Formats: sequence, C-alpha cells, structure tokens
Amino acid sequence: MKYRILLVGNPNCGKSTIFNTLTNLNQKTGNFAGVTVEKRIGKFKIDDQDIDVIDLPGSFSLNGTSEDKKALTRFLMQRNSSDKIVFVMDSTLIERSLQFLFQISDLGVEIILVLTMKDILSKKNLSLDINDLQKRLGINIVLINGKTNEGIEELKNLLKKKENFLPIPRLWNWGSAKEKFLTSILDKIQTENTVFTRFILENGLKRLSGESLQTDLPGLELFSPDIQRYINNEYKIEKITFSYQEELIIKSILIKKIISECIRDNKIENQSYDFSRFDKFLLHPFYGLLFFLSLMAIIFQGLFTWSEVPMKMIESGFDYTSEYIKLTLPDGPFSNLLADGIIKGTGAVLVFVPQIFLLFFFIGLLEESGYMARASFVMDRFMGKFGLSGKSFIPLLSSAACAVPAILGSRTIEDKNDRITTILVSPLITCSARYPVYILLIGAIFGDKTFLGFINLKGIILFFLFFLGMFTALIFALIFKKTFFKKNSAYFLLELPEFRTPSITHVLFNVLLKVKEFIVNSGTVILYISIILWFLANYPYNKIPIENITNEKISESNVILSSYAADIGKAMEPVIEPLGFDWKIGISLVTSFAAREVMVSTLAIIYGIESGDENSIDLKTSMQNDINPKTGKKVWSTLTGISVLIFFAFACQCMSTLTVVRKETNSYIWPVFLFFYMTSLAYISSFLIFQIGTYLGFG
Amino acid sequence: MKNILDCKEKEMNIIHSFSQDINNDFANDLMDYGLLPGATVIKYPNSSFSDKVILRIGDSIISIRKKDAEKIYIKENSTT
Repeated sequence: MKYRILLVGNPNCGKSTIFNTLTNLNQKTGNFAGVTVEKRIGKFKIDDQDIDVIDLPGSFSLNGTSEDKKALTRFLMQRNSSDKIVFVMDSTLIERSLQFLFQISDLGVEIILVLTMKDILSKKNLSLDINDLQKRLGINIVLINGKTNEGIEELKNLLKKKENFLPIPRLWNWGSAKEKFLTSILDKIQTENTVFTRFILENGLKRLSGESLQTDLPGLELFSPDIQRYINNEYKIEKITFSYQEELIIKSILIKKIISECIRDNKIENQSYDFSRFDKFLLHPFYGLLFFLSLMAIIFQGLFTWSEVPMKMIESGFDYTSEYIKLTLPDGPFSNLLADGIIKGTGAVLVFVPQIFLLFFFIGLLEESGYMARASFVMDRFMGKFGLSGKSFIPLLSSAACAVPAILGSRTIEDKNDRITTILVSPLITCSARYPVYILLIGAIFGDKTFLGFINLKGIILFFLFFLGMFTALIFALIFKKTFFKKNSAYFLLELPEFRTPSITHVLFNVLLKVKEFIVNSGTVILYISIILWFLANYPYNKIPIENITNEKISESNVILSSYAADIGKAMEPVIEPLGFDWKIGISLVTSFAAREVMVSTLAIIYGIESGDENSIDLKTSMQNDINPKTGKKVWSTLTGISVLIFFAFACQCMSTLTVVRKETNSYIWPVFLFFYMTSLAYISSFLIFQIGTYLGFG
Repeated sequence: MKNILDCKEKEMNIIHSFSQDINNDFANDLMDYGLLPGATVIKYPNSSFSDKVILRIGDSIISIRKKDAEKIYIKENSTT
C-alpha cells in the first residue's frame, strides 16, 4: 500500500535540507487551508514509485496558539492512517528535540528518526551512541551530514520499506496514582487504538484540570456522551489533576537519563561558558546596531547595484524581442498582443528575478550563518516602538528596492500578526519604481532650483519622499498593531543559534526554489494583468497608418488617447479633479498600475515625445507648457505636481505587489484592504494638499 | 522571590516557577525550550543597556526581554 512521508521536527533542524535532498526540484509550495503557513509537497522516487513527501512546519510542540503550530497539529490529527513520520532532529540539540519526539510518538505514529548536523557533533567532540539510542527508543535512526550527504543513501534505503517505520513504545508515565486512574478509564472505554485513545484522554483530563490546550488537540469530545459523563464523574470523584508542565517535567527527567547514557560528553560542563565573544559585540546595543546597519548598507548597495545590470539586460532583451516581432510580423492586433502584451508582460515578471535572487541569497546567508537571529535581537528595541519585532526590519528595508521581494522575505517572521503588518506597510516605503516618476515630476515642477543658494532642491525633495515613505510605514504599523492586531501576545523569545559556515549549495538551492515559486505562483497572474492593462491602453485599435504621420509617438499617442484607458481616465476626472489631476494624469494612473514607472512612458506617449524617459527635457517642457483648456491654468502647476508626488508616495499603484500579497497571505481580504487603505491615504493626502494649497493661494 | 534577573552571570541556577500573570503562550514556549521548574539556567553576559537577557537552557541559548524575565523565578540559593 502506498504511504506518504511526513517530515516533522524543530525549526532549523535540517528538515528542509532533507526534504530538498529527497525531492530535488520536484516539489511545489502551497499554504495549509485558510492560513499563511507554508506547506511543501515533493515526490521521492522509490523503485519507480512516487512517494509524496510533505515538509511540515517546524515546531517545538503541538501546544500553543501560533498559526504554524495549529496548522501542524490539525494536519497531524487529520493525517491518513497509512502516513509515516520522518522525525528530523538536530543531533546537537537532542534534549529539547526529544520532548517533541515523545509528544509525536504519543499519537501512536510510526517513525524513522533522522539525526542531522553530524559534522557539528564531531566538531564539539561529542560522541553519540546511536545503537544505544536506537535500542532505547525502539526505532530506526540515521545520522546525517547534510553538507556532504553522508547517511542520505542509508535513509533512502530505510524509506523504501514501510516496515522500517516503527512506533516508539511509551517510555514515560504519570506516576502510579495517575496511571491507575488512566487505566481504569481506558478499561471502561475498551478501544483498539489505545495509544491514541490515551493521548486524547490525557488532553481531556488536562482541560478538565484547567489547562488551556490548543483547540486543534482532540480531547473528550471524541468520546460518546456516556463515556464523557463517566470521565467527568470520575474526575470529580478522584480529583486527580493533569498538566502540560508536569508532563514536560516527567519527560525531561527521562530525557536527561537517556542523554547521559547515549552522549558520552557532558555538554553543560563543556560548554556552559562558551558564549561567543562575537556575540558580546554583535548583540551590543550600540556596536551591534552599528555592525548591523553597516552590513545592511553593504547588502542593499549590492542589491541595487548588482541587480541593475541583469535587470537592464532582461528589460532590453524583452524590448528587443518585442521590437523584432513588430518588425517581422505584419502590423495588427496579433503582433501587438504578442509584442506589447505577452512579451512585455513576461518581461514585467522576469525583471523582478535578479532582485529576488539577490535578496534571498543574502537572507539565506544570514539565516544559515546564524546571524539573522542576532539582527532581530539588535533591531527589536527600535521596531518594538512601532509594535513590530526585529525580524520585520529586513523586509521593510528591502522594500526600498522593491516591495515584491520584501513581501516574499517576510516569511522569516514567524508571528502571523507581525508578518501581515509588515506586508501591509512594506509598499509604503519608497521603492525603486517610484524614482523615475519622482525624478520626472520634480524636474518638471521645480526645475533646477536650489535651497539656500547651493543645495539642490531635487535631492532634498527626494530625501523627503523617502523619509515620508519610511515614516508613514512605521506609523501605520503602529496603527495596525493597536487596532487589528491588538491581541498580539507581545512577548519576545528568540533562540540564538550557534554560528555555522553557510552551505552555498543549500542557499542557492533555496534561492532557486523561491525564484521558481515566484514565477509559477505570482508571475502568471502578473502576466495576465499586464495583458489586460495592455488591452485597455491599446483598444479600441485605432492606429493611424504610420505613412500618414511623421512622428511615431504621435501615432501611439492617438492610440492611447482613444483607448479604454483614456475612457477610464476621462471617467475618473470628476473624482480626481479635487486633487488637481486632469484626465491625462488619470490615464497615467490606470497604466501605471502595471508598474509605477510606466507613468513616465505613458506621459511621453500622451505628449508625443520620442525617447521620453524621466530625464527627457522635451517631456518636462511639454508638461510645463500644458494648459488646461477648462481653467486656462497650467496642468502641471507646482501644487498639482506636489499633489501627484504625494499620491504616488502613498497609493498602491502596483499590481505585482497586490498579486504577491494575495499569494503570500492566502487571502483576497489583505490585498483588497492594502489597495483601499493606501489609495484612501493617497487620495485624502493629495486632496488636502491641493485644496488647502488652493485656498491659501498657491494653486 | 528571586527572578532570573537576579542571577549572577555564568552561574547555574534552578528554575522555581513562573509568575501567575505570565502569558500562557510565552510560558508554553519557554517550557518547550526546556525552561521548566527544576531545570538549570545560566544567565550570559549582556550589556546593561540592553533590554534583553540571554539565557542558556539545556542545549539552547535564548533571549527574552528583561520585563518578561522578571516573571520567571529561581530557587533561593540555587547557585551551583
């Protein structure tokens, strides 16, 4: 009979490395139903038969209310009866891992135990007696070195036969009085699966004793009403209490005994004072922060500069292909769809790849080395003032490059509320796509003015807009944490893992998975939306034949000015007029939804300017000279310009961001909320600026 | 009663109990790391300016906020 393999273990125990080794790239990522917790499913080939391998979220126990613990518990409670468990354990952290293993074995499941980090065990001069541990637990155990794949073949061979998965006999008990009480009830219940029945009975008794266990852990409700009444009565008569803490203490004593007999060196004696001198520096409130900020400056400098060339190459490659198709194929709707819709839409997806690749490469290095936890430690105090933990800092900072990788990067935040808040405020931070719009508008509105006679005004305004984005993001984080996510537990508990040399192979493998996932999950949606936006900007197809017109941009201008996007822009005019915007700006708002920087090319097309980029003098001049026929005033007055700048600073003009938020939150609510709160913020801010400015006579 | 903040750095202390008002999830998470009554804990050196305390429990090194650490009591004279 076919069986599934479920990978279970603590966070960062090497579980994902084993999953990747078994399944290679033959895997897909999704979410558990209704939650944001990631579930990875892959296929492992055994004698021409595909076995499903499921990488479950890392956890320390089945108790607790965090979303990942609930998803894990729910999955394990609803598992197939044929499912087998591969429990992955960091061999250098056996003490706490055995607690979780015993909890899993209480479910009555069949297990193979995999011990990872063999290399680190050797470095620490610890010798683990696998045979002794195997005898004590009564299951098969494999010791693995994830870096060299030592032990992987042995594991693969064990996985081939379901007989190699064995249950762990119950090694602990509650003490004679409680055991007698449990046995008397179990005798009364008389079921076949006594291990699992005992597990749910113990949960029920813990609840009767006042323990607030996780709701997904089954209890007395699984018994018939008669049995429930009987247990309730017996509990009232005997007054014997059961608690989670007591269970952990009993197991802890057993675990210490097992460890003292299976691990040759006493770890506490060896390492009790080995607190790294690096940590004294890295965790220092001042030096640690200084180091972190310097490291971030280097990383983000790298992110911007190293991604620039491949991004430009991708853009140029797709532009070239698009042009080639236009020249090769006869002019018409099909060639237009292919060249401007599909090819440019694909380019709009792939252009994110270099930044995503680099960001996850850096995050991977920081995580694998153990530094990420230190970064969270030093940033926690500052981020805590805005209701976030230190882990939110890196995704927020990476939003300065692009919100898309930043939102994907928020996966490192375990707390659901912190993660959603980080996702919701990330797009407020000034991303690189806003700069072309800012540069064009600032140039068109303020020209080459200086401040105090020598400071370039453009630079000051750009800095102000960057600061405005960061400040608004933090303020909104605080607002969200004080309103929607008020019930957050607000405690800080962070493990500081030992420093390790990162495995570049593992990091690159994970980066490739992330890139593949982005292209498959979000990329396809971005492509569809790109095609829709292309359609809106190009139809009804009304292109004036090129031979009848001297300027190709004017021909394109005719297309866009008679398009559905123009209709929408004109229809929007009454709504956007109070912000100082006319219908041409309205068209730009529609097209820039594909990507903010598209606003520049849209304005260039509307004004019929060849090669209209953000530095184009012709485009700036055309904008400065444009007069609104209704009012007789300049379309791009200083006040309108500021209003548009503020609108772009706050509005969620980015379909890619919304698509990624939808995928990452596994919900339509959050992208819809994100769009409306940011658009409302943008609208109200621009409205106030324009109306107050006009009232004061600046209009 | 002495709490973890009263521990001397690098010395072993025995956990006595948690304060009644400790967050239930926090207590569960601490227990999952092995911070249980009867377990040994070592406080590691950390800057006095920091708002956090660093602890070794069993084979793990964890960090918690000082205000939360005040809710974890150690046995009197438990230094070994």
